[in-house]
Amino acid sequence: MPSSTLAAEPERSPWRDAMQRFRRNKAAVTSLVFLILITLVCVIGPWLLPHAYDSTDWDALKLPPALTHSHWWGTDESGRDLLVRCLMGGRISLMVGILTTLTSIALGVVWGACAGYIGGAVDQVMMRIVDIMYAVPYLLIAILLVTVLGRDFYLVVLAITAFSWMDTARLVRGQTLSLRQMEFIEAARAMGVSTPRIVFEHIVPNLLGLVLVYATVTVPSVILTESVLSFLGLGIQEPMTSWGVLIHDGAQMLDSAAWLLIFPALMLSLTLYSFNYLGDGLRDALDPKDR
Amino acid sequence: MLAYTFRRLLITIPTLLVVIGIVYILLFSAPGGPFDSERVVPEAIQAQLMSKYHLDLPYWKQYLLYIGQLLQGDLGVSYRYADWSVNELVSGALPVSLAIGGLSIVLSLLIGILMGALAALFRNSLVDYLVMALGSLGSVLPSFVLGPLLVLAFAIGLQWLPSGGWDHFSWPFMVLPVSLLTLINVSTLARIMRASLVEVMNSNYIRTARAKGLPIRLIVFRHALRPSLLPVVTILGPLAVSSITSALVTESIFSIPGLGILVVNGAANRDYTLVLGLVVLITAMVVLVNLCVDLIYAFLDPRSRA
Amino acid sequence: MVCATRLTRKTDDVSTEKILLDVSHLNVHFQTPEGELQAVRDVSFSLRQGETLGVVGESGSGKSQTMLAMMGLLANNARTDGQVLFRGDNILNVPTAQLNRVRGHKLAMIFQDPMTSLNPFLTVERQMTEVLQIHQNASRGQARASVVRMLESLRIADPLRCLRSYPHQFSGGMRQRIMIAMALLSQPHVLIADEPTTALDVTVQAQIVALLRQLQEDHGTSIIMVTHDLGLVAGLSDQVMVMYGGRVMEHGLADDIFYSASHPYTSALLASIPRLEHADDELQAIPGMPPSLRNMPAGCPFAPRCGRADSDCQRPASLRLVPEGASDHQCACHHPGAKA
Repeated sequence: MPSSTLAAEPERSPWRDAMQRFRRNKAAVTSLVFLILITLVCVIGPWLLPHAYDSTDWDALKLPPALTHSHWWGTDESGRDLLVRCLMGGRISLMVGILTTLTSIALGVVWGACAGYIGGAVDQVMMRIVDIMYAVPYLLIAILLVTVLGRDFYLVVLAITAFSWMDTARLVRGQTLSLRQMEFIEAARAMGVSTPRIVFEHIVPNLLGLVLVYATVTVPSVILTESVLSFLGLGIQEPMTSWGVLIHDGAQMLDSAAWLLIFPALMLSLTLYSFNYLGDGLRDALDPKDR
Repeated sequence: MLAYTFRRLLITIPTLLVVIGIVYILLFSAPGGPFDSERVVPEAIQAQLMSKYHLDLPYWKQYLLYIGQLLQGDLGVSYRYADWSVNELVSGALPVSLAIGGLSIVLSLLIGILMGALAALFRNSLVDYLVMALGSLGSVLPSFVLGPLLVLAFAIGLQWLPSGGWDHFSWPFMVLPVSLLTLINVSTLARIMRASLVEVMNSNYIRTARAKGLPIRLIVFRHALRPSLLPVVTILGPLAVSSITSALVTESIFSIPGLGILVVNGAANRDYTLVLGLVVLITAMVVLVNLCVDLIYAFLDPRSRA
Repeated sequence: MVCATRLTRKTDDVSTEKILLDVSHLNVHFQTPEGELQAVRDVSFSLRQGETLGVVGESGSGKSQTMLAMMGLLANNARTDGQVLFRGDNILNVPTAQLNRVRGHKLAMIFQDPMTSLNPFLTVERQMTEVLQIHQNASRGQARASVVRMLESLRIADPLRCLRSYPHQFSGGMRQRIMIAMALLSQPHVLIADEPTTALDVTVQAQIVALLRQLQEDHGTSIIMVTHDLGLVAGLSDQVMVMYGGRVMEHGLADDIFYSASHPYTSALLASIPRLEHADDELQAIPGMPPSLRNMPAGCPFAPRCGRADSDCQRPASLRLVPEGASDHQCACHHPGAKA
């Protein structure tokens, strides 16, 4: 009996149920559509627009946004087109967000799985480290890391990763612990041989959903951290730009060119919102009892 | 109560040591030494500088020396501001940050608790929606977006207040920075207070209080307030940590000469000892705040003292 | 579960005392997103001085909601109509200030779970003295003295230490005693006890019941005892009211209910009481589950589980005098009287 319940998948795939629930959540679906759109626009947009993000136009300094000229969103104090800069900044911000999330989730999964699977003293030590990491004021350390290691793009990713993996680690450890118990019971019954397949058939469905939700929530938090760092002048370096950098630049020009702040701020805020609604929607869809 | 305090203190010390350790390792494993600058320094002088700053000793010795130095309250010297010690720089900046931070925390607590309580007591009414909408302003937009927007509205648009700067604690320069910090914290505090008070008012012991025929004023202030404040106290710890971020951003936006600007400039200038000293100081402050929060919690909740 | 050998008759005759509490046609509805749900339907009873009313029913029968409605303690989305006269004055749907003059003072209530019903953040002294400070304008000192006297009369050991302590430092039985003491401070005419012993051990249950009986003898307090345990009301009640699905199923003097039960539900409840004499027999449970408020049957709420139900029972049954029964014995059944 045990091995048949193990191997048998339920008729209605839990994924299909989740998809249905998700589709009914209008805010989440809208957010997903928005995010896909904005990613496409940021990736493809700059190739389609007439201006390059770093080309200065001395005849069009600090032009306010209008549809009449070619600079739809206006220009900055060096005549650079704001629209294309926002899109390029979007590329960077989103890339940082996704890349950092991937690495921190990877680190968190590995850390949590090891801690949960090995257990005992190793587990205690590993989780103590997690607790200490939580207590450390992360932005300061991130600033320090960036100070020491420099402001190279990948170093920024590293610095932010260093403080974003803990939630995932805790989650994965918890799941691994409970699954470990289950696994032993099943293993004992199922012909005395525990196969990695059992582990995969159970861990993957359970964990994947939750990890996905966490990822969706981690991305905006990471983008926010990068934006703060860039806003403080300690993140992404020239000539690259990100939304945080653009907001920083825009904040300097508030009295003369407020649009330089407003457009990137708008893009950032809408993106963050969308990720949050998406995360909520995914969480509700995958775990409906968690209302 | 005393034993509890002592236990909590013991746990915080390793955290501090670890933080200092991490920071230390980072600093001194950085590519290039602290004296790699644009000017070429003659070898002899470099050797002298190294020995003066103990940089020629093995790392672990340097670490111990540093801890010893810290215990005496000395945060070291700045590499960039050659005539200044970190302590001196801090003593100029700390009061500024404390003034703004302290004021905003007090305001956030007062306003946040009041708003949350009103929203909870008049749940689902117009008061509730208005209060919560107002409150969520601070969490809707990131601090570095909200800040410039405030400047745009009040300094550039209405021209009521300066857009930044500092003048010996004179109040016009304090209004916007304090407002920004307060707006951000109020949203969290109001939300938590509301949820907490709603839950308390639905509890069985409040039902008993109503059954005893007590007037509502008495029920709220004597019976409901203390239990409902517990989650608020609990959030003060994490709030302190997140306030660091908010403070850094605020001081940057409004050019406030506080600890935040010191950190940011120190980082930009790669002034290692300054940043190290500041990180140690701020971490110690956060740890202290967390400890105080724990103690306040234990004081408020008779059940936790058992 | 109080053993059935305590099914003794109450001896005092209270029929000549004046009516303290007069409830007529009480209804309680809840406004929910799914529509309006009715939790209590057309409940009427009256209570005299020194009398005890036992209100019996399963969870969801509406017995607690009836009491909460009388005390004005229902949730915000509740609506009540009907009449509740306490010593001649209506207390239903009146302003809170007016209600507060009565509740906690002459109309008191104690609840099921003493742990969550006492404020864990306040000392016992604080929670008890405030009753007297509010209702009798007593000073702190006077109130304290009265509280100590009350605790002593309930034979609570070391009252002074008790006052300084917090609720979590006591056992369940002690907490319930403190609750009762707190409710009695202002010498209420009526005490409503909502499942006071459900959360307690059997031995403690017996003590609490004995305590309540004692109080009635000493002070002449009228008691409404709400419980799901028929055995519990046996030794204590003058009248018994059986509720199911928000309605009164049967209502009468205790003797009539216990010895001449007319409603099939009452009979089933009586039959399900474990008896020592029949220790080897199977326990008789009532098959099925109580109806949820959302899916209330159209006619008699008990019909789905009733052995006597037929097509007549699709219509609601109103309370009628039991044929050949006592003058105050009523039953809401289309087929009253016969054995279930």
